[in-house]
Amino acid sequence: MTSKIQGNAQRIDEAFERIRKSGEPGLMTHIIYGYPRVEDNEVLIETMVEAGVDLIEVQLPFSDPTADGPTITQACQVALDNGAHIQEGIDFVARMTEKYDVPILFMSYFNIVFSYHAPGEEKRGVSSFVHAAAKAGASGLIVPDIPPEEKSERYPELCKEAGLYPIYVTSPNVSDHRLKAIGEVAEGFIYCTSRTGTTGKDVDLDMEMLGAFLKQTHDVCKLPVAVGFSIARRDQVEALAPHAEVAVVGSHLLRTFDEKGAQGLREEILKLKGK
Amino acid sequence: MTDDPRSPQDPKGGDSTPIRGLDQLEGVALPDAQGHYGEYGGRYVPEMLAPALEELTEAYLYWRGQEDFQRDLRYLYENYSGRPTPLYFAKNLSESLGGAKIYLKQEGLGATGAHKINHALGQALLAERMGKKRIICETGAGQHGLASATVAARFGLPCTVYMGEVDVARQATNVFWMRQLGAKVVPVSEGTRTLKDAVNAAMKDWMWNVEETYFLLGSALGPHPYPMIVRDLQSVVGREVRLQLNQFEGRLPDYVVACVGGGSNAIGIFNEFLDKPEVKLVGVEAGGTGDAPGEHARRFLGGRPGVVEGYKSYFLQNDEGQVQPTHSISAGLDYAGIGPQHAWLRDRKRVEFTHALDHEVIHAFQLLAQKEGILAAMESSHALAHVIKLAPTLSKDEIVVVNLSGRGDKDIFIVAEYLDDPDWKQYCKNFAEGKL
Repeated sequence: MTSKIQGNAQRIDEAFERIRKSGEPGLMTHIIYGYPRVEDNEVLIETMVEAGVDLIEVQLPFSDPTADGPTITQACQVALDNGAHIQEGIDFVARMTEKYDVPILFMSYFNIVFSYHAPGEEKRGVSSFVHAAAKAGASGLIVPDIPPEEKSERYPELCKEAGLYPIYVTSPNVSDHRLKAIGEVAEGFIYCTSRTGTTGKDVDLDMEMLGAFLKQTHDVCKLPVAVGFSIARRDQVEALAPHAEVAVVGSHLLRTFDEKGAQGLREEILKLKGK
Repeated sequence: MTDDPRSPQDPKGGDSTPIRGLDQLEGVALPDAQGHYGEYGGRYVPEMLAPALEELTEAYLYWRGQEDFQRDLRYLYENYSGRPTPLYFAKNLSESLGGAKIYLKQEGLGATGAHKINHALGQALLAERMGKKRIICETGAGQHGLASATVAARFGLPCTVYMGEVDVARQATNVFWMRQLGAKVVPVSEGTRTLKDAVNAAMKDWMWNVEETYFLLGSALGPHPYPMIVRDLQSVVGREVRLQLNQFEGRLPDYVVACVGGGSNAIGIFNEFLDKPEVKLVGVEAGGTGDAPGEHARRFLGGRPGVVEGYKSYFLQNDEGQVQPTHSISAGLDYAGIGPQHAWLRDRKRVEFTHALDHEVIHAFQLLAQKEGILAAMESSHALAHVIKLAPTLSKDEIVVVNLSGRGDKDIFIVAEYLDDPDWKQYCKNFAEGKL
């Protein structure tokens, strides 16, 4: 794996390098800017970093999060009701990337990217957003509803020009031609969902099907993979280890923090890491 | 064709260009292979839905060209739904307004009382041909849910209808009928708890059940190929108008007016006339109670281009791209987005968009009821409200066609509430208290 992009994206390459050397599966966790309260976000990041997570997604809340299940959908609504603003979320990430070396990725929906304009500027769009995200020190973007065929948006090109990895999400029902198209534009790693459906539902992983899908993704895209959706236990992380570089735990840790606070979150992350 | 195609002395020659059927749409330029109408439309969905949309596109393009599919659809249109619906010359209304001749396309006379049955029948037939085992849909006012529940019953498929909690509460009659038709109605408690949240919920169900389920989308919007499928299936309305008006008047209309929520009835009646620049096309959005955000559903007033629910178009959204609440007296127009082809037609100035306020809509509803004995749906009354302003400015030999996309029976609670009718309220009270 060679880094094709100069900039913050290198933090992702470095994280995967560390994961590879450790022989242990990596862990990517997820927070929603503004949830449960804006003032909790820094504690969340701090706890995650100290517990040793390898990558962190910061979701910028959107009113209509199509790919998310009820836990994250409601959390986004709470965040918006709390008055979470996109620019504040970007500024928050800027502070966190200054403070910590962990690679932080923005996760959001395409309308947030498409609508963005920098404070005091009128120009909206992908180029404005990627510029702001790169300036904030983010390493990549995860935008599930911008498919590779919407070429006129120039989304992957603009991400790369800004020094960000465009992370593509793909699912086990993907066709060969689509996976190939994703492989052509994706950089950094591929985010594979463990199944179809939305985030956050506790269902058993079909490891036989998933193993084949992850192998196909590795073969076609020639990038490491992170697996998310329904990952909540150490035994799942271990089962994934031979097939994927990183496990993604989102909704489960969000609920853990809601129920048990920062200390509970820390313990749960350590458990997921087998410590 | 004569030199003057509108010559009333030449009833046969006024409109003689061929009318395209479902099987002859290949030459229609829009959309491109990825579902774009200019910069609008497209397919902005999570990857796991992409295979299902590709499968649907392929299946639809195949079946719409098959004679047996067209024959079965025609049979259902004619014998189940009651097509063609009448084109009626509203003589009293025209005379009272003192201007153009007003014709009403009576879509409300079809099965389920609104044009939604046209795309519901076509899509159910497609679902059957594709071997799907289950239908899901979203609904706002409940008219599309009702049409979907109806066709699901007819095709023997289980049906789940997603409906925002707010809409479930204010459209109890449609919820009751959908359940009688055997559908499962799932109230959606997320977001603004209205149509857009129902669309999201249906999309999420589809992600979980993508193999066996047909998502029967209810307007000319959403990710490709839905705007195309719904337009094609609704285009029967405009084709009939052209034939019927040619029989009455021997010529094309001067104006075609339709209300626009998502835009299915409008694109249905406009489609046949898009390449005839002499026919002026007018879309009427919900003006609600005023111009402030949350008071209306005028995407072309407060909206700007965005990408929501799988397609690019105009959306009512805040500065950061969060979708904004809307208001309309008509639940069917109470939606923050608009079909992508409408956005394109608006930018190209092929369709003029205007709006009607809630109180103008009620006035239009009452005027039509009193002059012609026709109860129009609140949605369709928006189109009428504009015609009430337009017709007096035109000469007596000009012709305006209005799409009466639905009948008003369903709106009894809304109209009675708006008019604050004491007898109706007493009846509801007595009914609730078991005093009848």
